[in-house]
Amino acid sequence: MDTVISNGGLNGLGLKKVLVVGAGGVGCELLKNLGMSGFERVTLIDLDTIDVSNLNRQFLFRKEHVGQAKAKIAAAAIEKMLHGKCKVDPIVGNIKEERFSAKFFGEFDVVLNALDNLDARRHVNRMCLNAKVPMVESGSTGYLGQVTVVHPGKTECYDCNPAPVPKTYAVCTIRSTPEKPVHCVVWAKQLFELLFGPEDESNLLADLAKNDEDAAENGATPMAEGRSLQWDRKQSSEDFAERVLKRVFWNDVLRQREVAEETWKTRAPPEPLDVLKIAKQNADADAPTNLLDQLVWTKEQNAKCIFGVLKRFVERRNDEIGNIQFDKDDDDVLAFVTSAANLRASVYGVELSSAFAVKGIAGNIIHAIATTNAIVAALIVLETIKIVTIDQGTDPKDASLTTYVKRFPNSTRRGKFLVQTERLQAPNRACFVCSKGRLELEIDLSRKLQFLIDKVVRGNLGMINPSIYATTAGNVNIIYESGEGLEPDEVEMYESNAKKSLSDLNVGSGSTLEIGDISQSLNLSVLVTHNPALGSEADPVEFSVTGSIPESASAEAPSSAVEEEALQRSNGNKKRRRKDDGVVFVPTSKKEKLQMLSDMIEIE
Amino acid sequence: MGTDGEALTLSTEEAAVYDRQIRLWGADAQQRMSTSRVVVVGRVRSNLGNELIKNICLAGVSSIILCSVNDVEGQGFLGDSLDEVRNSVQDINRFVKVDIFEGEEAAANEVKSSTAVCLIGFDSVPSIMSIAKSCRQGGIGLFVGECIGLFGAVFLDLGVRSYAEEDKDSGRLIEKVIDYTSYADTFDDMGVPKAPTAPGAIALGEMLRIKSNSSEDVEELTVAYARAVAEMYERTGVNGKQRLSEQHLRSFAHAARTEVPPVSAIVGGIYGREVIKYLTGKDEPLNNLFFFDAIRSTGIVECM
Ligand SMILES: [Zn+2]
Repeated sequence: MDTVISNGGLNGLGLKKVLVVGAGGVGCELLKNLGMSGFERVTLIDLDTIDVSNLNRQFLFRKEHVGQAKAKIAAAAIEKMLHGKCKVDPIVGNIKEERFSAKFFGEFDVVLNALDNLDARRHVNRMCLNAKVPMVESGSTGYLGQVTVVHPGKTECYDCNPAPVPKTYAVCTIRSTPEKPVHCVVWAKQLFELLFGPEDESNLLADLAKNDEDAAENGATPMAEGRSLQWDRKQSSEDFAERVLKRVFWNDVLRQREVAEETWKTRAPPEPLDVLKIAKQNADADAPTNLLDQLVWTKEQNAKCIFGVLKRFVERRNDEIGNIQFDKDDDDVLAFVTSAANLRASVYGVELSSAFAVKGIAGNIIHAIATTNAIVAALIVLETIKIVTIDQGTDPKDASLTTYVKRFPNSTRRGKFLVQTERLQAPNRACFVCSKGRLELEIDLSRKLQFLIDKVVRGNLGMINPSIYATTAGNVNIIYESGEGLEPDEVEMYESNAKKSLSDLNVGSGSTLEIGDISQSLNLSVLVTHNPALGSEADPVEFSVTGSIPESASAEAPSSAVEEEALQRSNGNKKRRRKDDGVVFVPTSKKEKLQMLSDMIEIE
Repeated sequence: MGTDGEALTLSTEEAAVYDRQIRLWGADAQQRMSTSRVVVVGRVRSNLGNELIKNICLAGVSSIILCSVNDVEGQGFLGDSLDEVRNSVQDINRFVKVDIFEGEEAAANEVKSSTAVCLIGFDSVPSIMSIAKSCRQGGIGLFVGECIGLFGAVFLDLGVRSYAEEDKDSGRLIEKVIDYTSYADTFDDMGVPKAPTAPGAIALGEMLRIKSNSSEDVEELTVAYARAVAEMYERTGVNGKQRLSEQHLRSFAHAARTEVPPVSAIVGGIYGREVIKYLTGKDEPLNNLFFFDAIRSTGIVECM
């Protein structure tokens, strides 16, 4: 920072081209700080529109802007605030679109991430590596914040640390033995998707739709494809609601009492609930409507709410059924999930929750406040100024820092730190993104190709438009391609492949998959091992992907202590793990080391 | 939070706007915030002043009273004139009442009926000592913030302060108390630390002395600034090998007279966070100095 000032204050920053990705909480603060610091050429990309819940921190937006594009409103607000001194060029779009190519990224001096999701962060990281543009990455959650820098090829990239493992619950806890409100909420979300969403064979309640033995009992005809629980288009809304409620809160509860018999020796067994009767008995009472309230609805209110909302979907939104996504801001959806979760909680003697609390759990809402965003955005600008003014010959590893904002001061022998730094690390040599590490995949080969594409290739490897070539015993076979420029017959063929199992596509243990994404300039070699136990009740982990250093590279002796460390780490030492929102939190055991690193940071 | 069945008395519209922060600090805290009157005194138009005002306005206090004293112009982002600042603040959150006054007399009056008093600049308000004393008498939290070049600080005098802290094992809230050293015992009449021993406090003292030095002699400033920085680093363990070059010293001296925007944003962020903690009575407040150093990107907490 001192060098910047001595080079004639903050002058000269106006010529630098900056790309800001995200005009949310951090983005708004960031734009203001960039403009105030003397940056004049900013391009801003954001896909989103303004929501009323943004107004408590995204201070460039007003009530009358709700529903409008964030990028446009933010750009206009900065222009006005700084009297046109900073020009912000807004682009309303998704950063993952193909038009934002490596060439597009290459036009900037630095790329600043102010994102709120993992996928986009991983994608921007890859684009910056391809374009060889430095990137500043940030995260803000509650009172915690983090800013770090990626110098392509010289320091760790975003994918050098293991991808987060999404929080999962044991299948039987959700299906048969819930103990906490969150288990009931997860169940209610699954029930919602089963009833109203697209078909998903991995839905935890899929058996509920297929085991249709109560259908006959209720006088209904069992349907083909085992989707009897869904609305059958001839059914009245009342019949539909009755059948769902009877099946899930009565018949299935009786069945679960038998299935998990052992469990009920130590805790009270579930009590089936005649939801319909409760709802109709209280016909005069109003169904709850205020979804922001923190009041917990009574059992009667929940019964009335779910009966009403089930009918509502059939009466008013029947053309959407089979295609409705879970959306925490859709009032019908939230009312359904809240009342279903609470009725389930009643059945199992679990504490009930308010709609406010359910919205937070079901929607994975990240707590966000203005002050942390302001600090994070300012730390991004400090790092940006250093990047664009760095002297030739300075090792970028020494110029940039990772900075953490903490909730409480971290006591060390050097003092108590509320804002603390860490040196950047050399790239992880086993990283499949920046160091071409090799991957090994363990999976049950009876899984469909679609599963591999959704969960492994898009979910775990973060690709957007993948192509997959399978090599088995020397024979190469193109099994999947996506993206622009495919012929209709190709699209058709790959769609039909997606429905086949991997073994039917001739992928076996020892096969190699070449998985690539041209837009990300990424091409991976993945060795496959068949493991039929994965994804079963005994082992709910659905697959495992591990990275290793390619043989050719690992044969070389590490040339420095830093590389040695990178090597050790890649060989299985636990490293930092990102949370869902992409923020890295340093475990307490690393505190001392972190402090030592911060002490090493010199004035220059 | 959220599961205690507590009803909101905030309006539905307020609940929608404040949703994300209510999820963090709870509806009861938001409620307390919405009954608070915060007085900001001193250089309200500085960048640090603007940052703090924006942060507490977004948090949703009942009213913000701005008392401009020895103010600057053209450094913040909320506007040049006081009227512009008021309009911008009002625009950011229309649930907040905003008032503007000029001069120390108005400040002295407003302080008495406030929940918290936030000074911008240790040297901006000549009557700081008497404001500090009336805060003590009235049981009102006093905060003082300052940004000088690449450094910035926030000082807190919250009297005898009790706050609720979540017990790690039981999750229950337990009440704790901090007995703060008073402003009057810590600073002299000129707003300079009396006998600082901790590195941040020493640096703050030196920075304030340099700032009040009316000398146009850059050499003199350079020497003073260098001494302050060297002293601070020696005490935090950065010494010996790393000598500051002549060029660095000059750059510090130049920066000492200006605000560096990201530094104000960081200090204003921590400042806002502490004021919110005070208004809501949640979480352990800092005791009693936060010092930020943009050269190293570190923010330390120490007790003066
Ligand atoms: Zn990497």
